[in-house]
Amino acid sequence: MVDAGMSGGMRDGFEEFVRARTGAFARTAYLLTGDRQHAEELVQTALTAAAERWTRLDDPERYVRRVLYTRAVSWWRVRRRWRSEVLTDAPPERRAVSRDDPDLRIVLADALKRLTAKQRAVLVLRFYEDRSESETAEILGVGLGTVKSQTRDALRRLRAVAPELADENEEAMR
Amino acid sequence: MTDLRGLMRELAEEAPAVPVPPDLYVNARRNRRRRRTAAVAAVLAIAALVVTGLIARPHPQAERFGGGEDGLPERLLSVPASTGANGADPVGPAAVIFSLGEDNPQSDHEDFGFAWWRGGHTVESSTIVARDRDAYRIVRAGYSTGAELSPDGRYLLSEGRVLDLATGDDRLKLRTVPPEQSWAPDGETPPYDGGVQLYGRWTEDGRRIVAVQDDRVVLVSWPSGQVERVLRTPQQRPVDQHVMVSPDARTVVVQSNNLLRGYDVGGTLSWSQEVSTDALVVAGRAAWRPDGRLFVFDRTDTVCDLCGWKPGTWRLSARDGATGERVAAPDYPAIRDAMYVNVLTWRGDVAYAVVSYTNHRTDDLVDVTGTALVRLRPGAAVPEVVLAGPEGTRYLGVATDLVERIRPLGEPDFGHNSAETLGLAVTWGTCPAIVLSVVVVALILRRRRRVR
Repeated sequence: MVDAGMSGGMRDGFEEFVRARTGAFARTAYLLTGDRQHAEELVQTALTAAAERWTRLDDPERYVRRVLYTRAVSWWRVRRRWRSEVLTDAPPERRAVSRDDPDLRIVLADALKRLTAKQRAVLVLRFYEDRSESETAEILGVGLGTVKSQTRDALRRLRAVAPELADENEEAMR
Repeated sequence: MTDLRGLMRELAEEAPAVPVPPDLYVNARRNRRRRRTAAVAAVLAIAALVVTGLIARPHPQAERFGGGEDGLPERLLSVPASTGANGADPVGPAAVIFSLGEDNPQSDHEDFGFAWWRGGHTVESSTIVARDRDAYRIVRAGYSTGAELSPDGRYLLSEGRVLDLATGDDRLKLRTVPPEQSWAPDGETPPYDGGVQLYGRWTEDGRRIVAVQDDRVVLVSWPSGQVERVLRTPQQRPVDQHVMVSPDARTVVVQSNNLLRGYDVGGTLSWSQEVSTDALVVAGRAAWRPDGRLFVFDRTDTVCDLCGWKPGTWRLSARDGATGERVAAPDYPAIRDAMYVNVLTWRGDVAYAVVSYTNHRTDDLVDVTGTALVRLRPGAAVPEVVLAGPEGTRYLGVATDLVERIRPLGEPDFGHNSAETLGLAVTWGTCPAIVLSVVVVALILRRRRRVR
C-alpha cells in the first residue's frame, strides 16, 4: 500500500509536470524540427523517456530539454526528416519580402529548415532560450568552440538563404 | 518584431498542441520494466545456450572404444591452433606423432612468447593421431616434446619423462645416476636425481629405455621402470652420440667422438673403430637384429662443407655386432637429401625408417622441410614412402606395430582446446576491453551528471 501510494504520488507529479510544461516543450520542438508532426512526436518521445526515469530525475525540466535537443540532432531522426524533403540543386525562388512584412516569420521558418539540425539547435538555444554559449555547449554535449562555429555558420547560412532576415541577423550577431 | 529573438518567439507560437496520452506514465514504466526483463531473459538464454552447447557437444571419449580398425592413417593433416590438448582430452594410444617444431600449435617460442594460460614452457609441442580414427591432439612435454613413441603407441618418451598418452599422465621420470656409479648388474642402482636432464630412446621391442647421461649409458626396464644397468663409456661425449642395446641386452654399441665401440654386459670394451659420423651412423632404434648384426648407415654425397652436420645420401649396411667387422647385407635403396634417418623396425629384411629431408640450404634442423616414414625394401631402387608428415614436419614417430596396416582417411576430429581459445581471446581482448570500459564508464558518469 505504501508503495502504491508512493507510486501514485509519483504519477501525479509527472502528470502535473506534463500539464505545466508541455506547451513550452512543444514550442521548442517546433523550432527544432520545423514540422508540427515531428514536433509532436519529439515531445512525446522526450516525455516518455522522462516517465521511464521519473523516480530518478532530480531536474525533469532539464532532462526533457536535453532529450529534445539530442534527439532532434540524432542522425536517424534527421534521416527520417530528409526522406520527406525534396532536395534540389538550387534554392527555390522566393518572393520579395520587406522588413515590415507580417509573413517574415514564414520566411524564418523556411530558412530554418535549410539549416542543419545542429545549426538549428544552436540558434534555438542561443536566441530562443537565451542560453549562454557554455550552457548551449553543455546541453548539446559539444565543445564551446563548436557552439561558436555552429552559431557563426548558422547565421551566415540564414543570410544566404533568407536575405530578408539580414537586419535581424545583424542585430543577433551584435 | 525587430530581431531574430522576437521572430523566433513569434514562430514558436505556431507550435502544435501536443496531445499527451493519459496513461503515458504507466505505459512508459511498464514498457521499461518489460524491456529490462527481456534483456535479462535474453542474457540468461544466451548463457544457457552456451552452457548447454558446451555440455552437450560430442565428446571424443564417448566414441573412443567404438572406433574403427587400428592402423596408420592414410595421410596426416595439418591441425588448427585450437586443437584439443591430449592431457585434457586424451585420445591415445597413438598411431602417429609428429611435430612442426616451433610451428606446431600451442608451442611457446624459444625464450619469449610464453603463453600464460598453458602449464609449463614447451618450445616445441607435438601432435598425435589416435590408433583407430583420425583424432588429433596436442601433446606438450618439457622443452621439446619430440616423437619418441613406444612401439605400441601408448607411451611417449620426452626429455626423461614417460607420458601415458591414454591418460595424459606421467608414468615415469627417468632419473640420473650418481657420477661415482659405474654400472650395476644387479639392477639395484639407487635412483638419483642430480638435476641433469636425461634423454632416452625406446628399444625396438619396447621392453627397455636406453638413456644417456654424459659418459654413462643407462638401461631401464619397461614397464617396471627399474634401472637394469649403468654402463660407463669413458670416450663417450655428449655431442653427436648414438647408442643402442642389442635385443638380448648383452651388447651395447656406442658411437661418439668419432669412435664406434661395442661393449659387453659387464662394461668391457669388445671392439672399437675410428669412424667419422660424416661417413657412418648407427642405424637408429632398430639398428640391432636378433641374429647379432648391427646395421649402420654409410653416408656419401655429403654437402654443405664447413657448415656442421651435412645432408647426404644414406644407405644401410651391416656389421658383425661381436667384432664390428662388415658383413653381408641385402642391397638397400639409397636415401638421398636426408638429414637424419632412424630405422624404427623391421619386417623380415624390410626396414622401416623415419627420414628427415633437407632443403640443402644450411645445416640445422630448421632446414628440415619434411619427414616421412619410408619402407626400405632390399633390391628396390628408391625408398617407398609409407606416410609423410605435413609440410614442415621435423619429427615423426609411429607405433611400429602398425607399419603394415594403413587405414583410410576418416572424418578428422581435432577436439577443442577451450583454454587456448580463451587465453588468446583474453590476451588480445584485454587492452581494448580496458580502453572500452574506461570510455563507457566516462560516458555513463558524464551522462548521469547531465541528467541530474
